[in-house]
Formats: sequence, structure tokens, C-alpha cells
Amino acid sequence: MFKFSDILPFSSSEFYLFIAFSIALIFASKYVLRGKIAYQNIIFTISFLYLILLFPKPIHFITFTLYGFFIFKFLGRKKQMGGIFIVLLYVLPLILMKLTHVIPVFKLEKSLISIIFQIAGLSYATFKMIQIHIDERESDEKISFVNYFNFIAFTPTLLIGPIDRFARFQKNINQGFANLNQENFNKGLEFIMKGLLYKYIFAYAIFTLFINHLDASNGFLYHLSYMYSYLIYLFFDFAGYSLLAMGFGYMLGIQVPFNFDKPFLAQNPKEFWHHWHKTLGDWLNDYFFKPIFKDLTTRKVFTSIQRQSLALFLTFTLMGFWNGFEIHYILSGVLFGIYSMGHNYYAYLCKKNGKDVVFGKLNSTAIKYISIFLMFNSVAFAIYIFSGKLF
Amino acid sequence: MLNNRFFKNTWIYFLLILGYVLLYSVDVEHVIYPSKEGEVKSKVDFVYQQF
Repeated sequence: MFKFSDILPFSSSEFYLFIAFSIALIFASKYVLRGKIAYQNIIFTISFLYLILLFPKPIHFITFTLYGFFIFKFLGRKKQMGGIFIVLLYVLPLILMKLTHVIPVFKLEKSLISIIFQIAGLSYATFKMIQIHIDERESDEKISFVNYFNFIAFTPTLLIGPIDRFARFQKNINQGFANLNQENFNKGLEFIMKGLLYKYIFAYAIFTLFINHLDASNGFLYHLSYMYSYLIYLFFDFAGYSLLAMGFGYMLGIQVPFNFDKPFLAQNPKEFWHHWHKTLGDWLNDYFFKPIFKDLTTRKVFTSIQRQSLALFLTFTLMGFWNGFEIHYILSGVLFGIYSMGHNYYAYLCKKNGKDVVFGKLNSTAIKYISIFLMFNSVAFAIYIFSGKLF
Repeated sequence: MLNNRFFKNTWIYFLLILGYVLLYSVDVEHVIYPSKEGEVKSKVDFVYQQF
């Protein structure tokens, strides 16, 4: 029996049917209707239909998009409106949503805050709104609501990314039906097959055959097993999800950026965030780390290395808060911040002393493998904290 | 290059079919753990929900 409500992206067969229908529709528009309906309007129709027919709380999400568009169009360009104030306007609904998880009175299902702000995909929509605002507010090109909506509500990336950039997304929109070709279709199919393998075979197998049957009475061994298996599970599930989003994006003509690329071979935190949830790492770097670092530089209070470290720490702590206001999310962010600060100081001291201050004269291959080992275990511990298993 | 891609894709399809048969058709979880009730709900799905 098909269900036609409360269906999140990639969560059920109904969603896959809908996306298959969307791909058929967009190809029919190109080859049967011969492009009589503009490409951007087809993408709008697909995203709008998904929200209205399947998504939980469609009116809430559309209203939130209108809210973001209103700020962008009518408040963002006024010089007297401070940057911080505008960003606060964008993140206010997100903060209220996160509070529904920690404040008992907001937690109630029928509390007004929960009814209004408990919207799936709100975090990623907020990220994209801030990105458009900062990058496009002074652009000469006028952004219509259709283009704004297409970017915020593009079905494959609606719930958990990858976090695209408006200019890149719009480039694909402007290319129109030209991106609907054999090459992109084949690439999309490859991403989808790999994504299905990751999410529905590897992640599912780890969860059902291993994590589900771990014996909690084993104490330390249980927590150790959980720590490693949860990290591998999360990687396959999240990377699989991202690959599916990329695959369906390519098939619809949008070249969604990649999110995961062999993250467990990273040798340091900087490298790790270039290979694990890359679009989030890039977003945090561009819209949080750089402005903070710039602000600290103008204040001339700290040395350069102190400024960098403080900005790194604050950036990852913010990431923790973004995951949720629960203590395990915040602590995992703080932990990633400490890793980055530590590595930053290490790199600084190596440069200053002209030698590797930790590994000395050890050969580079050994350093490489030790670094990978240390990084993998550090990440496993931070993700274990993130999982909420400990507290 | 083309050969490499062909083998990679063949390998992915093979693992997909094998995984599907073992996990969903045969239900290997109940074969390995016959006495235990499997918990189907994924915790990560719940985590995604709140984003």
C-alpha cells in the first residue's frame, strides 16, 4: 500500500518512484515537448510537487523559504541593517527548532514552537540562505523567487545536502536541457548504484548484523566495538545518501558536488574535513572561519597562530551546536575543534623549527601511516561522542 | 580506463545483488541470530530527521 505523506528523501520506495517520475518528466520535456517549458520551471514543478505531495509539513517549508527570500530581497540590501542581525534572522527558526530537543516544554509534540519550527531540512535550508545572502546580495543579477526556491528546495539535496553553492547551481540551471545528456545520465547511474550499495547493503549489514547484536554487558569492549562500528556505519549510510543525492541530481541535470572521498585516509584534521562531509567543511570555512579570523585580525589582540587556533576552535564548536544543543553534539564539536587547534600548532612549530617536532627523523612513509592511524582513531572517538552512546 | 570502469561497475552490481539476496531475501540476520528480534529502525535515520 503506498503512503503519500511524511516521506523524507531516500526513505522509502514512494520517494524513489517519485524521483523516477521526475526524471521521466524532465527528459520528456526535452525530447517530446522540445524544451517548450523552461528547464527552471520543470525543476520548480518537481520540487514543488515533492513538497506538496510527499514532504512532511510542506506549507511550513515553503513559508520558511518565503521568509528567507523576504530577508534577502527587502532587508539584506539595506546598509543600516547589520550583518550579524541579518544572520540572526536567518538562524532564529533553526535555533528554535534545536531548542525543541532540549527544553522540556518545547519538546512536547503539541507545543507551539514544535508545531511551527520542527521542520525537516531546516538546517540545510538555513545554510543555503546564508550562503546566497553573503555571496549574492551585491550581485547585479536579479534572483527571482523561482531560482531561489529551486536552490533551497531542490529535491535530492533538500534534507541533508550536499550543500551546493548558488552560483554553481544557477550555472547548471542556465545551461538548461543541455545537461540532460548521456554522459551525465551514466554518471548519475554510477553514483546511484554506489549509493545503494553503501546505504542499503553495507550500512544496513553493519547495523543489522553487528551493531544490533552488540552485548552491552561487555562493558569497555562493548563501547570500543560500538565506537568503530558506528563510525563505519555512519560513513556508509551518509556517504551512500550523498551519492544518491548526487546521482539523482546528475540525472536531473544538476551536477551536485561530492561530499565523501576516502576520509579514513586523511592524515590530519584539515585533510579529513576535505574528504568527510566536504560541503559542510567548505561552508564552515568560508562563512564562519574566515570572517572570524578576519575580525580577530582587525582587533590585533592575538598573534597569528592564536587567531587561527581560536577561529578553528569556535568554528568546530559552532558545528557542534549546529548538530544540536544536546551535550554530546556540542562536545563532539569541541573535540574536533581541539584536534584542529592541536594540528595547527604542530604545523606551526614544525615550520618554525624547520623540523618535525613530533616524529623527528622518522621516514615519511612511517609518518604517513602513523598519522592515518591517529587520525582515524581520533575521529572514531569524536563520532562516538557524537552518537550519544556515552551520555 | 574503460576496462577499469567496466570492472568497477560489474563489481558494484555483483555486490548489490549478493547483498540484496543475503540481507533481504534470505534474511541472514535471522539465520545468524535465530532467537533474537531484529531492531529494524536505524538510529541514523532519526539523526537525519532533526536536520
